[in-house]
Parts: sequence; structure tokens; C-alpha cells
Amino acid sequence: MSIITIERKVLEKNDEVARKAREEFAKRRMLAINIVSSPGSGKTSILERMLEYFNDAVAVGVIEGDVQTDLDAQRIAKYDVPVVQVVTNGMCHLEAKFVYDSLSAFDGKDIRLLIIENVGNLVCPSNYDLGEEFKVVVLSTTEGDDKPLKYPAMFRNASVLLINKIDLLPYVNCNVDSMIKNALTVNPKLKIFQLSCTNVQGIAEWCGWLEKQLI
Amino acid sequence: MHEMSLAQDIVASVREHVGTERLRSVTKVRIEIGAASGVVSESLQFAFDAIIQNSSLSAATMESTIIPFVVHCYHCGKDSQNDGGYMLCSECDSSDVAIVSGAELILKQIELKEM
Ligand SMILES: Nc1nc2c(ncn2[C@@H]2O[C@H](COP(=O)(O)OP(=O)(O)O)[C@@H](O)[C@H]2O)c(=O)[nH]1
Ligand SMILES: [Mg+2]
Ligand SMILES: [Zn+2]
Repeated sequence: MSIITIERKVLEKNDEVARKAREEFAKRRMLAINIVSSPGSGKTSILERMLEYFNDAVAVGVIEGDVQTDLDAQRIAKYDVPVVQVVTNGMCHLEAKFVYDSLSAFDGKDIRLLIIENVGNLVCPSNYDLGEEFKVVVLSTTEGDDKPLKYPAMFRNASVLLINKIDLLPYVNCNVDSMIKNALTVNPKLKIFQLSCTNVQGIAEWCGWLEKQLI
Repeated sequence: MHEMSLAQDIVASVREHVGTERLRSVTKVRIEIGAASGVVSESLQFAFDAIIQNSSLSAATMESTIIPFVVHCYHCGKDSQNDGGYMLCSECDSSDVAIVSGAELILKQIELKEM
């Protein structure tokens, strides 16, 4: 019998590409964020409100990850920003190579902020580094306040939590205080914003904070 | 389920490290699953078995060990374990912690029988 000792992260290859992407972002002075959530939490809606907020003030580029269809990219195309649609064909997460290979689409565009909308899934994308500066997890009030405890990996690996659909609070059984408490239990360093995409509450605060992170 | 792509990555790594000629002699693939990695051991096992079926690796079995989630606390200096995957020191409640283990999926070892 012989033994080969390897002792390497299974995602080593992805991490390598993520490192290359990260170098590329730095070179282009581009802040890249990776937005993750369950399907329907409001990632694309938040992105739309962000594009309205930044309008001409910040040059934004978008990578849309979806399992099928380019519907989200069509929604974003209305805003006249460069957008790349990545269709994963069934894969439940984006990998770094998708992002790295998309970057040429932004050549010569002097993008300051790259927003990556990940595939709707609260589990799988947490393991995959895309080279982003940080992950932004979206949790909506309709999903329940216990989700941070049920999906800790996502909340641990994110730097920002956007609590979306707060306009629905009068109608849903969700306690925002305990949602925040649960999120901070998993990750006490989380920066938290409360948003509504319908009445744009909180959008300016979130975008204002993000603008300060630009490099 | 990303366990399928993880299992594919594991199989690809095994092929890379062992080389095509020796694949048939692989008996065990040892991996470590972090308790807070978000990877479901049964799903990974299922995916691995499905991939190696009818391949030159079909004699191999995957052996996985769950590694507890441990953080080191910069406040009190202790290491502590929590099963939730929380960034909190169980000793003093400080959030000034770093992950020691239990958040990753690691390919540990490949065992081969001599031919
Ligand atoms: N009431 C309300 N609905 C929202 C809000 N944000 C998104 N939605 C709705 O939630 C649904 C899913 O939103 P979408 O942005 O496609 O989610 P995604 O799958 O995470 O990209 C859509 O019908 C949106 O109109 C919000 O703040 N309040
Ligand atoms: Mg979407
Ligand atoms: Zn401590």
C-alpha cells in the first residue's frame, strides 16, 4: 500500500483564479462586490435601484449569474450600463473563472464598481471566492428571521447584510430585531442596511456607504 | 447542490496526482469536511460514487472526516469550538476571532494498493 498526501483545499483551483481576478480588479481600480441570496430576495431589484442612484455619478458594470435565461440581464440593459450575462446551465453558483473570463467585456470602460449578481441560492455560492472585495448577502423580510442561523456559512462569509422588503413588515411575521440579532450571532462584523426597493427606503444610505468604499 | 461540482473537482485532483496508469489501484480517497463548510457529506459521497462508477477509479471509496469548527480568540487567547459556524468565542463571547478549522473542504490523502 502507498499513500499520497495532498492536504489541499478542493477549491484551490477556483481560489487561484479568484486571486487573478482580484489582481485584475486592483489594476483596474474597480471595486467588485458579489451579491448573494435565495431566489426572489430582491438582488436584481436592489441592483436596479443602485443603478438609478449612481446614474452617471459612478461608472458601474454588472455581471448577471443565472441558471437559465438572460431575463435579469435584460432588466439591467435598460440602464445603459455594460452587463455580461453568465448562464451556468444548471450549476447552482458562479465560479471565479466565469467572472475572470467576463472581464474583457469591461475593457476600456473605466468601471469603478463591478456588481456581480450570483445565482439565487443561499448555500452553494458561499464557498466560491470570485475575487470580490466582499460578499453582500440579501435577506428579505418574507424569508423569516431565523435564516442566518440556518445558513450560517453565507452570513459568515459576507461583509454586508441587506435586509430587503421592509415595506412588507406590516404584513409578514418577521421580527427585524431578531433577524439582526441572529445575523450578528453568526457574524458580529456584519454591516447591516434595511431596504425597500418599492419605496427606496435605505437605498441612499446603502449606496452612500458603498460609494465610500470605492478605490 | 454544489456537491456535484466539488466531487468532480476531487476526482480531477485525484487523476492529476495519481496519473492515468495508476488510477485502477486507488483504494481510498480521504477528505476532510469542515463542520461549517456548508458541504453535505452524504451528498458529496453520493456524487463521488456516481462519478467514479464505470471509470478506472471505480474501485475507490471516499472516506470523509468531519472537522469541528474552531475559532481562535484574540481577546482571551483561547481556541473554542461551536457547531453553528459562528464567529464568536465560546469562552468570552468576543467577536475578535479568526477561523482555525472547520470551514473548508480538504483533499487529504489518496491510498493506493501496490500493483
Ligand atoms: N414589496 C417588495 N417587493 C420587492 C422588493 N424587492 C424586490 N421585490 C419583489 O420581489 C420579487 C423578486 O425580486 P428580484 O429582484 O427578481 O429577486 P432576485 O431573484 O433576488 O433577483 C419581484 O417580484 C420584486 O418586485 C421590496 O423591497 N419590496
Ligand atoms: Mg435576479
Ligand atoms: Zn475569547
